[in-house]
Amino acid sequence: MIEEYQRLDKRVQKWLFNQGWPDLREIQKRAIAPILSGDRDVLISASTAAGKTEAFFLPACSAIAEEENGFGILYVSPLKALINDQYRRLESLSEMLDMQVTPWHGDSLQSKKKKARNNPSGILLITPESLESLLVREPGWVKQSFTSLKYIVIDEFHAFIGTERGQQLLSLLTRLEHITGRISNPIPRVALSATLGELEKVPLSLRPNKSLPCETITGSQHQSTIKVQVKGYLEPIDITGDEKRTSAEQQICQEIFSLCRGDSHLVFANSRSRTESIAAQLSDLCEQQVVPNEFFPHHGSLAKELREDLEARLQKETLPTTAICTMTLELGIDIGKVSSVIQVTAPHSVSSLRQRLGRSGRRNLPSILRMLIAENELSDKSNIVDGLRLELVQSLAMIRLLIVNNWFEPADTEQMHLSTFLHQILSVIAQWGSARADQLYSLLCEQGSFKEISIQHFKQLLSHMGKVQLIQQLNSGELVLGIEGERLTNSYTFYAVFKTPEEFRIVAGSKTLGTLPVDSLILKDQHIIFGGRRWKVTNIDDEKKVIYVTSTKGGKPPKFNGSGMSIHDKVRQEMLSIYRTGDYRIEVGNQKIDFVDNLGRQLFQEGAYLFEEANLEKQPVYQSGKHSYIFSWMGDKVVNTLTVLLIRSGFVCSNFAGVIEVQNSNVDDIKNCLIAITKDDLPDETELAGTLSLQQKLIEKYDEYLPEDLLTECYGQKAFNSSATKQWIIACLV
Amino acid sequence: MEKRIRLKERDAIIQSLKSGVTPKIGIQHIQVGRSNEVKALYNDIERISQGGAAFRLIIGDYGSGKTFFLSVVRSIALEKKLVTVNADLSPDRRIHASSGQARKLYSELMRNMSTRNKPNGNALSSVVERFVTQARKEADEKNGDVSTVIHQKLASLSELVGGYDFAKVIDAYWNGHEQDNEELKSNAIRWLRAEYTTKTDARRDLDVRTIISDNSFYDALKLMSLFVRQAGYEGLLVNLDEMVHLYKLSSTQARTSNYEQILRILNDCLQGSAEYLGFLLGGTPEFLLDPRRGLYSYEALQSRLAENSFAQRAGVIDYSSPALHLASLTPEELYILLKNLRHVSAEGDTSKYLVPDDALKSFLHHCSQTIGDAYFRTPRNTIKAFLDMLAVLEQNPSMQWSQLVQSIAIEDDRPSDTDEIMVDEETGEILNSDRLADFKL
Repeated sequence: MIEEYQRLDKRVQKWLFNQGWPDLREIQKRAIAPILSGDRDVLISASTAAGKTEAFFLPACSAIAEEENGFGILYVSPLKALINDQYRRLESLSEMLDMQVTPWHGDSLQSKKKKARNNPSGILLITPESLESLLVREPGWVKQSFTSLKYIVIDEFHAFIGTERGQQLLSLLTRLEHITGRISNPIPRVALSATLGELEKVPLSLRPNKSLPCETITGSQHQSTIKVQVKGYLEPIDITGDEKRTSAEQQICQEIFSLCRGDSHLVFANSRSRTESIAAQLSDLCEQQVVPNEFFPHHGSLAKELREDLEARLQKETLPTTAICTMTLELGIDIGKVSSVIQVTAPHSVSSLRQRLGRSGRRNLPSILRMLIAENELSDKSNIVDGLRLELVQSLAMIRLLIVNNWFEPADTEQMHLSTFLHQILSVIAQWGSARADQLYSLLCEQGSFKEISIQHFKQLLSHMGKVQLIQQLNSGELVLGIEGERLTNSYTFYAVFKTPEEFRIVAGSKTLGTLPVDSLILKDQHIIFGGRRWKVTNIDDEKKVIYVTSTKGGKPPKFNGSGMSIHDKVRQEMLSIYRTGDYRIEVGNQKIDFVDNLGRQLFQEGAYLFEEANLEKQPVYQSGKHSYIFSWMGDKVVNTLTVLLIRSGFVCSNFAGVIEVQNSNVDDIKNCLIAITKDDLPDETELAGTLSLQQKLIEKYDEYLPEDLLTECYGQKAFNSSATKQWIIACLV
Repeated sequence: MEKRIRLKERDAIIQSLKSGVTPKIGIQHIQVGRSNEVKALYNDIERISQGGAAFRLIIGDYGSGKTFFLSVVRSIALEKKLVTVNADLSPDRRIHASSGQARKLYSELMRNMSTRNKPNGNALSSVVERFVTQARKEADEKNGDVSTVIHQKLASLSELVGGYDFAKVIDAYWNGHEQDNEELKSNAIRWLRAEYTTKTDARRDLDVRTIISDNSFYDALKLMSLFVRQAGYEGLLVNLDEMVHLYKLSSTQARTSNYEQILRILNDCLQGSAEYLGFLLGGTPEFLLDPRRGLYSYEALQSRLAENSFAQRAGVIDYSSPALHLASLTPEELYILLKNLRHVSAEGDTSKYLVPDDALKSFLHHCSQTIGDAYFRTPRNTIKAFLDMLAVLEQNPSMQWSQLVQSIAIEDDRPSDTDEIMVDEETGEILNSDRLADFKL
């Protein structure tokens, strides 16, 4: 310890002494040498509150302590609130070193920004969007102020990998190295991250062109206790007229009310409307019982002031507060830990579950996770999806994967991210005034982060951009912004590459039923579930973003919709294994721990029973009445592929929770059809994506400007997987 | 053509052209073609020296020799005893701005001020000196006070915006001269060069309340034109090149304000309110003609700069319209240019020619094989290669030109505002971005 400690700047040592820490933590000690060396990237992966930020800042601040001109450290963070927190945490250290720390984002103080503008030095805390704005609007100042940059640190790196924003960030860093002339002598990047799957692949996500080696430092397994409980609830079939029975949601709210009052908790509800509904019920309960209200909603559509008020209340930790929220509170805002985390539906991924679990567990107290899952009461008309209690089992599978295998979804790194690529092309041209095609390719693809884009794609994209007036070419060959490109880059909304997903309106006859996000796969004649009822899609209007439906029969729709693109193969495979063994319990030493309550266990047993009865282990395709169901136990990409293949062959089908429901068909028909398709080559992802309407493929912010071919190819990669599907068909159906 | 060419001029010409820039002196030896255009500009300069004004847009494709042409006109102006100022626009320098870019353009102009005796720039101090000397002479004759004479001579300036402070600064220069106060003199020059960024500093150093800033770009130029006149020169010629940078501005607002300024200058010059002042703006055809982003996008400019429809119908060029289009060099003109270069290289002595006429023809043929039409449309690299070849022959008298011609490598001229991306040598091989070199939308 002494040795590494000595390498830190004297003032940093003094600060450490003042903090009263008995020792540096493991990762902090191990990080000192690689960071001080300045010749490599460093990846620090450890659980929350293991001291990652100090692990970086102690040596990095020592290294730049003597620098006076220009920023020495660039700190990038996904959220403004995080930056504000970091600023507070760095106050005492920076004072000791007499170092300037500047928070720079949309809401930071102008006086601080002005001071940094006139005299840049020390540490700059910034979001990717603000960095983008600086590069485009003030490249001259950027070039001057960042010449002596020694380190770039990215906090919450796991939030960036594989996302559009992550691609933008990597591209920005390459452009920063370009403008300061550091491409051949790159600036070391340090990534701080909590949860990461497949750690060996991560350095490639940090620096795609591998111009510097990367050293990985992982925290030793965090020995914290986790308490998990899954509780089941029954949704009664018909509650009208029967006052004794209450809906599952009411029961859940009662539970939350009794569990959460008096302390701080987070309740994750996965959808905005659900959040509002639960929060409303809880406030009503408080009012009825004449106690102060401690339950508040938090989601993206809520007004900024309401969100900030809630965040502040959580941070102060003086009043007990329970936030009913969506993903917005998932990231590491330092609101302090809460006592427990409650999930009201199955989470959409294991890494999301881990991140949420990490929000609970105060000092020396265990992290507590409760899952409150509701399933429909069964009757003869029930759908097989309900019968199998799929939502419950999915939750169990995810918990097992998390705790037993320590597994989380690996990031999808083969995407082209065309929307962000287009954005970066416009941004680079706006930054410099003009650029040649080969320069753009070299900067963004060869040196930068867009490795999956071939020259062919690039040319196709540029030609299309010219056609839609995003760019123009001068006689001298240089590319400049076209009239539309100018309009886009001049807007203050230009700097962000993500957007809230668009929604389609669902219309039956003349009545609008509601809206549905576009990220689910919807084709004509397909059945969708909405408002607890089954509908058949009659038409999709691209222009007005409307889906026309008619009410249809086909059996009661299952409760759990779960459609989308995020469930990984491994989760479904784990579910299959749970059904097969009939046992979800977790082995610890010689014991098997049961973490489900009585009603939950009962629900599970009903599901396991049905699984065996239907012999689903041997029969991937199962017929029930007039319809058939395909159980692939594979992730959403394979499920989507199968669905579209069948639709192309004339079947009417839809998928819920990974189960494909095929109307009016029998097992042999389906099997023969799929096997026949495999005999010739399976259509590839692009061809499959071609069956969807254009509007459905417009997911990312600039997708509307992409040529349709490329858009289809890009969407195909996200939604389908032909080779895996072929393998499954051969393995399971033949 | 039999005259000897001074070594100084010869070196200036060869060195500049080898590095791809226009030479500042000796242009007359290599000027080829464009006689009508030159005549038209010559008339403009005459008009300026007689108290009129001129405004010309020199339009030519990239590499067609606009900058060269502007230099030619500039040297004519210098010969006719005008003062010239010139500058290139860039992302950091433009005509109208709010964060100092216009002021920077003005500074650049002043730094490049040239007179016949000082054709390489930095002539501002000499011009001021000359003015002061003249004022002294007058004062001595009349037995008056130099300061009063200065103010009298600059009385006409006081009517214009900023004129009063301008006169005060010249006065300060005189005081510095009198008191042997070098600092005061250099502060005055700094003020004239628009290097003061805050009024407080100017107030402190020179006791004036205003500075030359973004807002007073054109006004300051008008003052300067009257001033140089008082200093005994015939007028002021302003050369602004690389106007395409206005076209490339991504903010529509910024572009429009700049075009507004150009309109203002054009109106002043062509209406006759500006005196002893001329403007030459060099730009590409897109800069002028693009209906959405070019000058034509600004309606008032479009009507004033429109082509002469009679001339168009008759198939001739109207050399008196403000927009002057320069055609690219023809291959024949390029041949003559190479002959001139050969002549200059030999210091005007025909016996010292390094290569015969055949060599020139062979060289041009080889160029056309290598880079096609570009060899005469954008002759920059062709000229460079030719001079390189002459240099080798000069230093190795035993070598034959026939050996060298075949091995000439000519680069394609590919401009861009983006910095080139420098990578290590090893990785340079694997990069395949060069396949995009000829990409056309």
